[in-house]
Amino acid sequence: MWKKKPFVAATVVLGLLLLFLFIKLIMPCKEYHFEGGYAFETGVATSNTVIYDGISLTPGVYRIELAYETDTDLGAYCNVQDGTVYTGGLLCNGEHMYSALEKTEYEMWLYESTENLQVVLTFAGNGNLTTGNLKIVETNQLWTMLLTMVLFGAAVFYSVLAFYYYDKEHPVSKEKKQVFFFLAVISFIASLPYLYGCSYTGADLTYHLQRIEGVKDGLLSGQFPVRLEPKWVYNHGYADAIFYCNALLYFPAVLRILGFTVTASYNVYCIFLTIATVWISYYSFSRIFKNDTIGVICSALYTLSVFRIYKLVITTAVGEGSAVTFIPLVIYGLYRVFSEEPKEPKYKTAWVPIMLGYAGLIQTHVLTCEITALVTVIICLIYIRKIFCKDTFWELAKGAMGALLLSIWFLIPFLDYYVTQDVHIKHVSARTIQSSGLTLAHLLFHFWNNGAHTPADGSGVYHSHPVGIGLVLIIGLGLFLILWFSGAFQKMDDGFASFTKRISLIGIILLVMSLNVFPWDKIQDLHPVAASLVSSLQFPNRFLGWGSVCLILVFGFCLWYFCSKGSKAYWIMVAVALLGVTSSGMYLLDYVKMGQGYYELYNEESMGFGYISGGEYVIEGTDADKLSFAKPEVYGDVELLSYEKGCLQATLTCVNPSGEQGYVDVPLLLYKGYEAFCQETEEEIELTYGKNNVIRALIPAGFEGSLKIGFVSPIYWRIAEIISALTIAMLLVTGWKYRRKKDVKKEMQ
Amino acid sequence: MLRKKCNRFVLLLIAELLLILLLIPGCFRKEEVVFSVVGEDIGQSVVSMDTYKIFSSEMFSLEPAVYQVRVQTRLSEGKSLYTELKYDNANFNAVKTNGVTIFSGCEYTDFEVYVSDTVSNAYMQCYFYGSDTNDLLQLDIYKTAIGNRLLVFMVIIGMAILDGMLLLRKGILEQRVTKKQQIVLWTLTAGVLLAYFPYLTDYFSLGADSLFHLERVANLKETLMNGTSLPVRIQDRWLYEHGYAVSFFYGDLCLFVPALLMLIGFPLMTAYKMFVFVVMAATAAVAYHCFKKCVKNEYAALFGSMIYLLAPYRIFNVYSRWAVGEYTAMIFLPMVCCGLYLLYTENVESQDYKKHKWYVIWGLAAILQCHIITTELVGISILLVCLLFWKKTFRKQTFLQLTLAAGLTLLVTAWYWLPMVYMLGSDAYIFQALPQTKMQSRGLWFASIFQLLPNKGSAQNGMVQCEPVHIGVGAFMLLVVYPVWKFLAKKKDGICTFLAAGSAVTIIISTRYFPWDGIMEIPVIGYVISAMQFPSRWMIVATVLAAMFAAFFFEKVIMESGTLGKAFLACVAAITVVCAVYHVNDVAFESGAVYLYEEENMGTISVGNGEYMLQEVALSELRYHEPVAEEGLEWSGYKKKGTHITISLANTSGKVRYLEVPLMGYKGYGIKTEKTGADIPVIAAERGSHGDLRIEVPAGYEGTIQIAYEGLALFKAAEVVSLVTLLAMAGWYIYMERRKVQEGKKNG
Repeated sequence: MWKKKPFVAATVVLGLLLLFLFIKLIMPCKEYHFEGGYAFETGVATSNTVIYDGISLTPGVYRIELAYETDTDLGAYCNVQDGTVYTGGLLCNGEHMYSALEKTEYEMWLYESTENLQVVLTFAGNGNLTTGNLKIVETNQLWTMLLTMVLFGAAVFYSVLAFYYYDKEHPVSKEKKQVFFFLAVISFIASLPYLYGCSYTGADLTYHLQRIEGVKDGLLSGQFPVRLEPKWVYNHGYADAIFYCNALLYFPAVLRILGFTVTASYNVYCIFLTIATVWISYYSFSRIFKNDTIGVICSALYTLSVFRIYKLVITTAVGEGSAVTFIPLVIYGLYRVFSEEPKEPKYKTAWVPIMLGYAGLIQTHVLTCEITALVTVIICLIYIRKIFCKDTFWELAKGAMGALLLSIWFLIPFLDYYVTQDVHIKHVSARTIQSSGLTLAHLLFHFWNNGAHTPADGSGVYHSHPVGIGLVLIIGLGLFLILWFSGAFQKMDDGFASFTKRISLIGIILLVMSLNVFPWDKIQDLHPVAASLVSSLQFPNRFLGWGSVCLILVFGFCLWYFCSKGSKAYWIMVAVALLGVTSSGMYLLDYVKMGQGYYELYNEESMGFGYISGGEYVIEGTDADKLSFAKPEVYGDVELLSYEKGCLQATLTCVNPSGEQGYVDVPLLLYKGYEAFCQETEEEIELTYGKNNVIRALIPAGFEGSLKIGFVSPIYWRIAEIISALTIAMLLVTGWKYRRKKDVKKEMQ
Repeated sequence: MLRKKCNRFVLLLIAELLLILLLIPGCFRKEEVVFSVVGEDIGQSVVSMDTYKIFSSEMFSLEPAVYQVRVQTRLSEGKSLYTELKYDNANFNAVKTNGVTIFSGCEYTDFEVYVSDTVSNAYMQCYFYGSDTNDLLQLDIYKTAIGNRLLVFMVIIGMAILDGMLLLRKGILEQRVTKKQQIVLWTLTAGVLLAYFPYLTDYFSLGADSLFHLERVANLKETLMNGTSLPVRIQDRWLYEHGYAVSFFYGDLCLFVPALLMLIGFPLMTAYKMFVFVVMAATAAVAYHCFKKCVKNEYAALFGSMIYLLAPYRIFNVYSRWAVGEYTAMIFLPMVCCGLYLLYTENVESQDYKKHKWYVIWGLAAILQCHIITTELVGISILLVCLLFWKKTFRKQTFLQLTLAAGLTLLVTAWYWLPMVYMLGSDAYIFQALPQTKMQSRGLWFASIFQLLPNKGSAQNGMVQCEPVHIGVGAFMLLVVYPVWKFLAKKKDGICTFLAAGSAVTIIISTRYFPWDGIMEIPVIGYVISAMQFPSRWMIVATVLAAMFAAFFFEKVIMESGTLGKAFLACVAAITVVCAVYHVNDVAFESGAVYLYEEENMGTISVGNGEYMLQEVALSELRYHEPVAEEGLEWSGYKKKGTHITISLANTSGKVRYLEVPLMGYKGYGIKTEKTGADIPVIAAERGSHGDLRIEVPAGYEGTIQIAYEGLALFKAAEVVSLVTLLAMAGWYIYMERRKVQEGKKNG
């Protein structure tokens, strides 16, 4: 195969391209210095005042560093512009200016040589603003970005060619090709919102983009895994990653490091998430039904489900949207555990999907994981007799243990902080959720558009966000119940029908739990723990995710039932599914394109650094609105001689000549893990909560020296990370061995 | 095994019965006061503005139950009071209630509060507009037995559904219920749920005529509760309790359903929504039954009935126009079509031929009591059919049955139409004086007929937000394809052609291209036509004809065409359903949520143009007021319950004096006195100011009188005629059934 002409030609071209890119990468980056200054008149607002112009640059990714002095925060905005390059040739959103900073530091993407780049400033007129010298620093990110794209393109090209030749020698079945084709079509359609070169705005978009940037900044600061996002909350560091696992966000974060813009990285991530959802749901459902066509249909129903589009595209709830990817694995695992024959050899692998599904859920969205645990408990209770069967119990235990070990690197810090830190999320139990519940009409709604608001306080369906599951799934459920009612499954004594019956009931329960008639308020009244758990759900509509999965399984079962009977109803059901997907999912996607706002974000600085949604992970009592870029504040007789601030760390040289203890407030939010010591004596310095819960270093009487403050993961976090790493390694080895054993067996047969 | 199951079923029935018996005593629980406050003790002022002050009472707790707030006031001219029950920290939807505005002259108001979960911090809040706390005489909250009644009712309904489902399942498992019947049942159920979709919420939304019809329901209930007139002619609470003769001119037949539900204790909104569900179910069932009777094919009937049930015009009438009269009349339209079809196509010699007229009789009688304009349209249509098929019309048997149908319809509905006709002739009403507006411009644009995805609609002219006044694209496709099919298949089919042509013609006359303005200039005809208001009302006829045509055409295609034909029908079915889904989705999406529990919250003057008010009455002049007496006439002991007044009078003037009471002076009011003879008060021939009923009190009269709506002797006679006809028909039916049984026995 490697000797085939197209391979050779492609390899030569690829080699040349890679050579060119490597040369570019090792070449030193240029810096451009411009001297000058501009003083803005106080009280006079100006827009796009040109500070520097006529700047000549070749294509590349550059960092703009404009020196400035101002006494207000967010009062001015610096950007670049160029009327001579083609549309899209210059990508940059600029950066706000802050009193505590001395220069801007934002990136711009220039894809065409220019002679007339301008640096411009918009000033609101408040306070003073003077600008100084300009430095433009070339980075090699254009080439790392190109290298990434070339390698990806090469991988795709080689895969296609390899498949072409493999198919010639060992013909791949038509069915498999069809499956691949349809899954590709579903992936493409579901990815459409991410192919417009922008990010659709949802309530949570900025928050999740900050999370991605947080991972990027954390990685660049040398943290791995990233625990505190260093630049978030105006360089104060935020413990989002401890509470909200960002395992999947390493992918877009790495893309950012490689030079891709914020929007591009986010969109690529969402596309990959979509493709993963398509394949995982196909895998799970086709295995459940042992039928590829039903697997494809269920995959389409799932990937283009109203709930998934609502979460991922409309509210841009990346965590929940990511978690949706793993739910089918859990249901597949549960199906295997409870409906397969424990004595069969293949039963011993039933725990694997449960483990993978749960690990995926824990590491993407804890709330969805809570709901999944609830569903699992209900299923286990329904199958209580089977639970006491040794094999079944063992498979479930293996699944649970595997998921725990894979996620322990996240769970230990999470529990550690949850128990020891008085974070705001622990104080939200008074928030009620029942009024945000849905009406029955929401569940049956079919032609959704993006709407204007989430249902709350009796607003009903009127201009509601698409909070539903779509009529098609309800049709499937209705049909299933009618068949069940009519005794159609009486002669089916296998575990499959019985499993689906139970799943249909669980699906109904979950749908009811999403309604505003479900007594959530009453449950909250029962006990403080219940109040806290219910409150943390925020919206009853979260149950629709699992509700959708259950109902898709039920729909698939109807298809499977009619298919096995050779009934014409099978084709009617296929038509209904197709009609449903096109007139509900695709209709909604079209409407999103028309009705949803969007951002084109290139550099993270343009987003600001302060948005933390509900501020769930700050220490209780912190007033996030009062936090901004800041300098250290000294108290008592302490004299600060020097100060240097890095990511999650600071070095101070100070003197406390008095006989009393003094202290310094450093602009870092205090969380467990921060340590401070005197660099000269290595003596530990006590840290405590300062003004607005920032780090307060207590400077002993007579202290003189350098003080280093930094974040260090506790040792037991590290042990947990090693356990997870070992578990992954062990699973890979076991999986590889299992596969080899299977292949050998096959060859022998 | 079967016996065991039967026993289980009996046990279930016994358990259900016991449960009901257990719950029933609660319905007779005595009312108890849970909160009571006298006037100025209402509490502290929480807000004090120039134009109003807000006072809040002390807190009290409410257990789950239905409560009644009773407010006694004495508000002088220009003052008003708004009162509502409020609460702190209650669970979502724990309390369902609206506030109520009390105007000057209204001395007593009550309204319900539905509490489904314990509320520990409830309080009454009163907004005094120009008034002060002294104007509030008493405010009491009573715990009532309404909640128990509701529980019993819902348990009975729930059990009926459960038992029905169990019996159905048994029938299916024992193969007594065929697969075809199951498909029909489930499809119709799905269709009803689909058509009902916008109300699968905990609220509803208002439409064009919503307040008028809600008032009709609420005031019908009020009148029934007061027992002031039966059959209801004047509804009590309307127009600041002056009474409104809406029941004379707008039949209440179907509205008894929500009114009775309200009497049980359901809030207005719930009762109305339940009523709409009943209408949907009845429409589906009646259409299916009638079409099946005609086509004699279950699937064809199902197809036709679904096209009818999901027709955009019908759904539009229900949710956007709130055309209660029109959409209830649509339940019965298929009956008239079915009866006429059978009378004109069945063998006149057959034994069953005489039975066909009953469809026409019951259908027409019901339509008449639902909506007069629809009756007009149906009447004109029947007349045209009779003329078109005059040969068959004048066959002896057919003519006899048609005459009988017309006669019996008139007799059975005499109680309704005869008083209406009398009232029309004896007084002058506002609707008779309304200017005749040109209606051609209100017709449909041709393009709007082709609207694929019907939306909620909000405009009658033009295409922007165009109202979905059409038969539905599925039905339209059938109409378009039929001539092609007929031409290609070279088939002759009279009924299909007639129905298709009828539907097409009525669609055409619904448009603005038909010369309605010219026709309106023809004397008499113009007057009749102007009552239609919009040419698009003909869409009601077009819809039923198209649905019936769909059923017949379906049967033809299935019987005579191959796969292509079946595929076409499948497409039509799919398009019909998809369009209906879109329609109901848009209605739900574009309709704001309204939570209306109390009829008192609506006020009393939602009369539209006030069509049935006396011409001399100006709506803006009406107010709550006490009786107004001339000098020298003194009154006391005034009590008013609906349109029933008790009052003591003393005429010391030595001359005849007049008393005006707050009742609209319709014909039919009567006076009862303790005394007899000539010198007793009578209803004066002339009405008082703004049309009030005027009592002529002879000189020197002293005594207590009772004023109530009694109706006229003619009305009573008409009621007797209708009752006798109904009894005779019931007797005839029983006789015929018994004869049939006996003949059956004879024939072995």
